[in-house]
Amino acid sequence: MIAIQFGHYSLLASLVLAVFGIGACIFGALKRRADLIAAGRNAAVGVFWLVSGASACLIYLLMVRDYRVEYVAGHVNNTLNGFYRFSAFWGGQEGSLLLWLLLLCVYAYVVIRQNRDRNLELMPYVTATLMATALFFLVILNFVTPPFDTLTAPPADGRGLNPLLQDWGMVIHPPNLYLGYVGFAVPFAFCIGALASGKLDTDWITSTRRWTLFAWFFNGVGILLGGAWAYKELGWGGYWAWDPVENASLMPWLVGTAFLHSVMIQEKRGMLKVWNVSLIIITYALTIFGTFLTRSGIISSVHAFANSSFGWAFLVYLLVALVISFGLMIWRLPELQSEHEMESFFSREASFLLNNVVLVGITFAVFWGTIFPVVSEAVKGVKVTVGPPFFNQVNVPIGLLLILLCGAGPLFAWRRTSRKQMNRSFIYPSVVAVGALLVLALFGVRHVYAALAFGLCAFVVGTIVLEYWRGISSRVRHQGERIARAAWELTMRNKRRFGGYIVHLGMAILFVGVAASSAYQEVGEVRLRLGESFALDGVRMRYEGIRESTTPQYRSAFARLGVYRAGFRIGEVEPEKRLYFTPPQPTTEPGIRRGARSDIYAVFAEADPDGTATFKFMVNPLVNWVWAGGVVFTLGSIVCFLPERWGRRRKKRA
Amino acid sequence: MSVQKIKFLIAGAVILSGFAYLGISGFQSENLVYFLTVDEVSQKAPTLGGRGIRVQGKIVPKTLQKNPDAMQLAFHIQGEKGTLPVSYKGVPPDLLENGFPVIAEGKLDAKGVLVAKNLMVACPSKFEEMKDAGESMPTDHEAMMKEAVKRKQMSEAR
Repeated sequence: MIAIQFGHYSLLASLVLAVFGIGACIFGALKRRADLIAAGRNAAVGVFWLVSGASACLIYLLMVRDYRVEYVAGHVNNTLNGFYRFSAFWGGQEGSLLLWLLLLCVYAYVVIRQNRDRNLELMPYVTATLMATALFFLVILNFVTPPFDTLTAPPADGRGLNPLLQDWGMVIHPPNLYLGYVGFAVPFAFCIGALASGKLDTDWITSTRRWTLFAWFFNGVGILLGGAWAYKELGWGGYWAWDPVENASLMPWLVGTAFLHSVMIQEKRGMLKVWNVSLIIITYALTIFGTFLTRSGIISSVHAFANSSFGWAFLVYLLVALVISFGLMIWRLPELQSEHEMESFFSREASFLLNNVVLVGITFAVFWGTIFPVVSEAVKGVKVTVGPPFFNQVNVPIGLLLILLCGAGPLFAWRRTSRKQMNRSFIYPSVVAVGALLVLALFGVRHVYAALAFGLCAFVVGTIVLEYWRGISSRVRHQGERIARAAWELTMRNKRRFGGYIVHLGMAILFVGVAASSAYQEVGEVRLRLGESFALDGVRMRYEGIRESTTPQYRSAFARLGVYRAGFRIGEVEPEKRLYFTPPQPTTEPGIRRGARSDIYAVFAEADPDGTATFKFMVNPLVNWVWAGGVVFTLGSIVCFLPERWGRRRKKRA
Repeated sequence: MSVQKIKFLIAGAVILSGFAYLGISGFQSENLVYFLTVDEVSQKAPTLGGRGIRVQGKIVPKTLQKNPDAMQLAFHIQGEKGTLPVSYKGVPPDLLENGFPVIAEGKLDAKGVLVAKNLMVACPSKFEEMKDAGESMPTDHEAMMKEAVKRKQMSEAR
């Protein structure tokens, strides 16, 4: 009982402290009163401790299965193991909002500690902004979806966790995505700090460079993990369906990517200040909007939404945040003038600006497609869905332009690129791209978009290899290093630039996988008797047997299929059909044989008593490239994130 | 305004109109799927040719015909006034039985049959949503449990 009470009252006390903290910080900053600012800062630290305590309470209650708490009874049961009981913390509405808040408070605490002696003009506003975000979630957690509500008659057993969420991918995916989502609040808070205090130099950007990178990285990895989970768990053979929940995670990442690029222009050339401020405000708004989208159920029905105070709270907060942020920006417009003008189309600035426009364009298309059903139902009373064809039709051409820019952008010089520089930089990568296209054409690739994607990815790889080659050969000549050493030193001395190239390389690999697996997927649905086989894309699947097993949570049937290529047995897959007991729900666990060339993906739909079974088979080419691209993306991001001095060879002692 | 600025504005306008074109052309009717009730479908049938529609309703008892070897299904969905015939070819969804609520997505053919490309059982598994809607355990739950038992017996018999 103590844990329930403590959790409940911690959240209530946090609410009061957060209100006080916001007031003290803003008033202290306006009146230049150090004591008030310190009090506000301490209040924020207090909120951090209280929210951590409340989270610990909820985790404890889940671990001991205290069914008096409604949330516990609703999300775990007697057979659920400790790992999933822990993950039930973010398995439901209340818990996942508490996780959001917890991460925000941890970040606020770290930011306050990092900046005890730095950014003194900005910090009161930064703290106030972070606490305002926390306040919003505290209001929700105290009054709309309280996690510590108790039941008058506690059940003997809980309802259990949704079976689809009982997978390690789903366990780490939400916290991962939230690490990213919530992280964008920090650069946003610094931006508001800069606008409010009038200290509009690049300090707010440089101070939060790592935070932005951190948030962006985890947001990206969260998207990939979501895809990996869908592929492995949902059994429809793909990893991305333009589902509103997926779109919600993609949108902040896209605008965050634009922000990450365009701040470089402000740092180097003092341009695009208004644009950068807008981008981070939009990114922040999209993280709140994404949480709203996934949590309010607005997409499934406007009516469900209209009846919940929850959705309205989000919309009102979003509106208030946008009005205040853009209001501050407009107020500071005269001080946000560009220090330079764009000089040439063929400049780093122009290509980054175009990259920004493309990213924001894709975001807008995704946003429009995602909310169109809601708008249509609200305005015309016609309920529609916007399917993947819309998103693909709009985004694939824009995406191809994005890959081109991903390769071309870094080749342009700042301000303007001379004809000679252009030739020097573009000839080899273009030759590589055209060569790749010719080879693909020879091998019979006729899918225009896929071929273009492959060619452009080859171009990107070409530019990166060329940049590396130039840097390495210069170091080998001048420093007398060996090639591996030179590559390492080159990367470590220019972490931001070469880390960025590695990220670009990862994206190129990823796009090859995406293009191949969406253009050349083979699907076949078939009914097989025991011993019969089915051929698809040069692979033969032979249905060899069926077996059963039971665990405390579910019983399952496995169909065993031998996989043959050119007459040789290359392995087997065992797709599974599960039936969970509580809640009683069937799930499909596909049998996947992963390979560098293609994945063999088998779904076991149903079986008759005589053993005749229905299957869905898929051959998904190059899916592993998507995940490999993700790994390279991760490595590149880590390089960018490493401290400036790390990994360089120390100077030889004289 | 400098010449340079004008150039950039023109380039920006060209790019944005390209995006706008893509965005607007993406909203062709074949990329949209309309949610309709069974009765709306029968009212508007003549105007729905070629449009994607999505209909939800319960399977009319005893209309479900399965042809497992051809992997084909046919049934009627119950509306308030009439019913709508649906046909489907492919791997059937889990727990498809007479009386179950289903969601069928596809196009009407010339005879007024909804040829479903996607077929889902409106699965009563989303406890949270039901809790929010103030519903108790659905009656379908019993059917699901029966199905579970049936499968169990089936597998034990083997």
